[in-house]
Amino acid sequence: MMTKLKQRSIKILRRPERLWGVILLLTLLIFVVIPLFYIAIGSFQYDSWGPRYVPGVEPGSLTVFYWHRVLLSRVSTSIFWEPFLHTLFIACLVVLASIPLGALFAWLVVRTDLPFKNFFNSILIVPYILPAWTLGLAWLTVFKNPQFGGKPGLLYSLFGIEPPVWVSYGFLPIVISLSVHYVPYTFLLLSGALATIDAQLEESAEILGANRAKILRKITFPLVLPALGSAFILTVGRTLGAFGAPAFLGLPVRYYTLSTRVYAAFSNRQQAEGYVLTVLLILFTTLTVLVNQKLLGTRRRFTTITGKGGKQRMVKLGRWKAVALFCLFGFVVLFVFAPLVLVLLETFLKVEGQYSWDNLTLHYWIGLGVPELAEGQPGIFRNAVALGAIKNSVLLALMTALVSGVVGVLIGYTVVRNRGKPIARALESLSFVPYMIPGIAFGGIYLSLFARSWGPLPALYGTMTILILTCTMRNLPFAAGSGISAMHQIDVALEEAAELHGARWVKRFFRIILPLTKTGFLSAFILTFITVMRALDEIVLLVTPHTRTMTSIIFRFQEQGFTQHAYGITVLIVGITLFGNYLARRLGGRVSF
Amino acid sequence: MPDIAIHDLTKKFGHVLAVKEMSLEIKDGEFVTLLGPSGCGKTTTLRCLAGLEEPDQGEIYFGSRCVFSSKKGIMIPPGARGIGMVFQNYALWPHMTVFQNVAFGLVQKGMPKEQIRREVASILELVGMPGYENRYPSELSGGQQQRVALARVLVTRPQIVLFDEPLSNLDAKLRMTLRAELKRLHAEIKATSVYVTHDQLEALTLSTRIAVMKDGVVQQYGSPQEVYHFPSNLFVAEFMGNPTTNMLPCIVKVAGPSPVLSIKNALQNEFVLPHAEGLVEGQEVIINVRPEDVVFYIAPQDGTLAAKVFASLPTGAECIVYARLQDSNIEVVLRGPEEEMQCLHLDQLVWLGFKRGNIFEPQSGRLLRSFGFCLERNEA
Repeated sequence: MMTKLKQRSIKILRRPERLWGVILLLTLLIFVVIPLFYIAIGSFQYDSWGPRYVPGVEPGSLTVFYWHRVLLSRVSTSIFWEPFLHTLFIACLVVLASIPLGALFAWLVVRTDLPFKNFFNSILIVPYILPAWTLGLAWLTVFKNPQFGGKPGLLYSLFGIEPPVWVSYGFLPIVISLSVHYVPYTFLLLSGALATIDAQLEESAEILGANRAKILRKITFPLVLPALGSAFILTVGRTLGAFGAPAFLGLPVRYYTLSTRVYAAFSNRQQAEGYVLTVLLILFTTLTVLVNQKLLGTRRRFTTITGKGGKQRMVKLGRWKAVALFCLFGFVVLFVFAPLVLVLLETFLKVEGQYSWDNLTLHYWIGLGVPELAEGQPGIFRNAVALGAIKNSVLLALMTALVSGVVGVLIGYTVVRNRGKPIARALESLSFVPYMIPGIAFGGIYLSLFARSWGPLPALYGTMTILILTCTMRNLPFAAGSGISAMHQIDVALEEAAELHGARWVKRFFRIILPLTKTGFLSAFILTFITVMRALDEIVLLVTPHTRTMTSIIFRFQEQGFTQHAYGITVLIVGITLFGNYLARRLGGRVSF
Repeated sequence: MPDIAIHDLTKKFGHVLAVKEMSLEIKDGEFVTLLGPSGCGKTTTLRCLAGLEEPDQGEIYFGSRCVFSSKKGIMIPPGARGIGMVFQNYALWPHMTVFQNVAFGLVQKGMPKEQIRREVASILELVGMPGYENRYPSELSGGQQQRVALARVLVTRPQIVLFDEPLSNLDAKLRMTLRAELKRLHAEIKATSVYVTHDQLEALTLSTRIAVMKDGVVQQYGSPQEVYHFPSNLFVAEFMGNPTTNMLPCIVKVAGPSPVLSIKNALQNEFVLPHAEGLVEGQEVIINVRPEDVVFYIAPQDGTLAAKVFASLPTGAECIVYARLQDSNIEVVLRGPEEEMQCLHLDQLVWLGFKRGNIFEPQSGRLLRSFGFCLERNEA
C-alpha cells in the first residue's frame, strides 16, 4: 500500500502537469468563482446598513429587500433604471460609432492603395493604449463650462463661447471619448482578419463575374463577420463596464452609469446594493457574449485564416484617396494629437483657462507649494503624495506583470500538456471568466471579500497585496492567452529530451521552458506593465492613502480641483505607456485587450 | 473552344520582372502546362490570362477576341472573360454550403432557381460528389474540397479553364487519382486548359504541351516527350530530371561517328559515345544521361567508365545506385530493375556505358545534339 502510494507520488512529481492543473484550478476557484457566488449570495443578505432601512433586522439574514429596492422601489429609477438606460444608450452609440469607423479604417489601411500605411497602423491603436479618460480630460479643457467646473475652458477663454452643460459633461463627451478609445478594437481585429483572408476567395468570385460591391457583401463581409463579432463583444462588454470616462465626465453633473453607480454604492458602504448592481452589470456583459455566440452559430464556424493566401491586390482609391486621407488625418489630429497636446499644455498653465505666454509655468511639475496655487500643493516631482503614488504604481505594475507572467506560463504549460483532458478545458475557460467581469465590479467584489481575514488569508484591505491580486486576476485572460500560445510553440520533445537526461521538472521548467518562452514572456510582461500603469477601474475602490496609485490620485486631484496635477500625472502615464508599447512592439508583442 | 494567343507579355512587380516578353500559342482544346520552379513567372502568366493581374505590356487573345492589349488599352475584367479558375487552396467560401458555392456563378448569370438546382446536381455527379449540396467546406476532406472547387468552375461551362497548382495541397495517392480524373474530365468537356505546376511528373502526365519557364522566359515549348527526351537547354534537362539526372562535363578527345570523350577534370577517364558524330576534337561539352540510360557491367569493358559503387537504394520495383567515378569526385546515378542491381555491393567496381542522352554546349547551355535515340527529335 505504502509503496504504491509512493510510486504514484513519484509519478505525479515527475510529470506534474496534473498537479499543476489541480493547483491552478483551485486558485481560480478561490479568486474568481467563489467571489462571484459570494456577491450573488451577499445581494440577498442585509448588510450593516440594513437596520437603517428596516429597523431591527440582523445584518446577514436573508432578504430580497435590496433587489426590490434596486429594481422596483420608488428610488429604483435613480439607483438603477436611469443609470441602466444611460449605460445602454452609451453602449449602443459607442458601437454604432466605433465599429463602422474602425472597420472603415481597417479596410482603408489593409485593402486599398492608401499612402502612409505604417504610420496609420501604429497611430490608430494609440487611442486604446492611452487611458480611456485622457480624451475626457482633454475634452474638459476645451469645453469646460464655467458654471459647473468653476473654471473656464479653452472655448470660453479664447472665444467667449459658453458651451451648454450637455456638451461639457455627461452623455455626449462620454460617448465620444469611449468611441475613440474603442475604435482600435475593431481596427486591430478587422485589419488582422482582412489581411489574412485568402485572396483567392475573392478572386474566384471575381472570375465568376461578381462586381466589387457584391464581393464585399457576399464574400468579404461574411468572412470577417467573426472578427466583427469579437470586436462587438469587446466593445460592448468594455463599454458597459467602463468607469474612468463616465466618472470624470459624468459624476460632476451627477450623470450616472451602472459602473459609476456601483462605485457610488461601494464607496458609500452600501455593500448589498453594490452587490445587486454588480451582479446585474456582470449579467449584462455575460449576456452580450452569449447572444453573440448564438448569433454567429457553430456549424459555419471557420478560421478565415488559411495562412498563406495569395497576395492581395490593393483597391485603387483614385479620387477618393484625398477624402480618405483627410478623414484619417482628421481623426488622428482631433482625437490623438490634439488631446495629448491639450493635456500637456494644461500642466504648464499657472491659472487654468488663461492661454497666454506669461501664464506658462513649470510650477506644477517642480515648484514648491505656494498657498495661492492649488491650495499649496507642491509640484508633482516635489509632492509627497504624487511621488508615493508613482512609487506605488511602478511597484504594482512590476509585481503584477511578474506574477501574471509566471501564472500565465504555468497555465499555458498545464493547458497544453493536458491537451484534450477536461482539466485543460476547465482551466482554459475559467481563466477567461474575468473578461466578463467589469473592472469596477472586480474591485467591489475584492473589496468586500478580502477586507477581513478569510480562512488562512489575512485581511488584505489597505495592502499592496490586494491591489496586485486584483490586477493579476483582471489580467488573467491576457496572461493565460499569451502563455498558452507561447507554450503551443514548444514541442513536448524538447522537454522530454531534457527528461531523458535526468532533469527534474523544476530544472526543466527553468532551463528549458522559461528560456524558450522568453520573448513572449517579456513582451507580455511589458504589455501587462503598461496595462496596470493605467488601470483605474479595478483599483479605485481598493486604494487607501498608503497604497494610492497614479491613476487613483488623478481621480482624487481632479475631484479636489487640482487640475494641473491630475493632468501632469496623466502625462506621465501616457509617456510610460507609449514607451512601453513601443518596447513591446520591438519585441514582437501585440496590444492586449 | 477558343485558342489562346499571348504576344510579348511583360509583367513587372516593382523592379522585379516576373514575365518577360513572353509569346505563346495554345490551340483550341489543348491542355498546356506552364512548368517551372517557384518564381519563374508561371503563376503570374496564368493570373494575367485570368485578368487578375494587369500586364505591363503585350496582348492576349482568346480566339479572335482581344482580352488584353497594352497598345489598344484593352483590359477585360476577369468576370467578363468567360474563364474558370481552380485555385491551389481550393478557395471555397467557408461561409457557404457546397450548393451555394457551386451555384454562385449561375446565380450571378441570373439562371432560374429550378435550373440551378439541376445544373448543380449534375455537375456534382460529374465530379463524383453527388448529394453533398448541404455540407460546408470545413466538413469535407481536401480531395473533396478540390472536387467541389472544380464543380464550381465547370458548372458555368467556361471555354477556358485555368488551373493554379490545384493538386499540390493533396497527398501523393490522392494526387494520382485526381490527375486521372482531371485528364478524363478534360477529354469530356474539351475546354482549352492552362495548368500551372512545379511538378514535372504532373506536367508530363496531363499535358498535350508543356512550356518550361525560368526567370519569366519560356525555355522550351513542346510535347511532353519532346521536353523530356530532348530538352533544349541545360536548365530544362536538369529540371526534367526524374528526380535527378547525370551531367558530365567532358572534353572530346577523338572526333568521329562514335567519338571518344574524357571527363573534364580527370582526363584519364575515357569513354566512347555511340552515334554522336559532329563533335570537334578538343571541344568542351556537357553530357546529359538519365539514370535509366546508363548501362553497367561488372567486368571491364572497352570504352566504358570505371566507377565505384557508393550506395545502392532499392525502392522495390527498381534500384537506384550512386556510383563515384574513379579519379574524380563526379557521381553518376544509375537506375534499373532491382534484381539486376542486387549483385552490387559497396565499393565494388563497375563499368558504365551511356546508351542515349543529350550533348550540351557548356557556355550557352544550348543543346548541341542528341545521341542513341531511335526516334528523331521532330518525331517525338
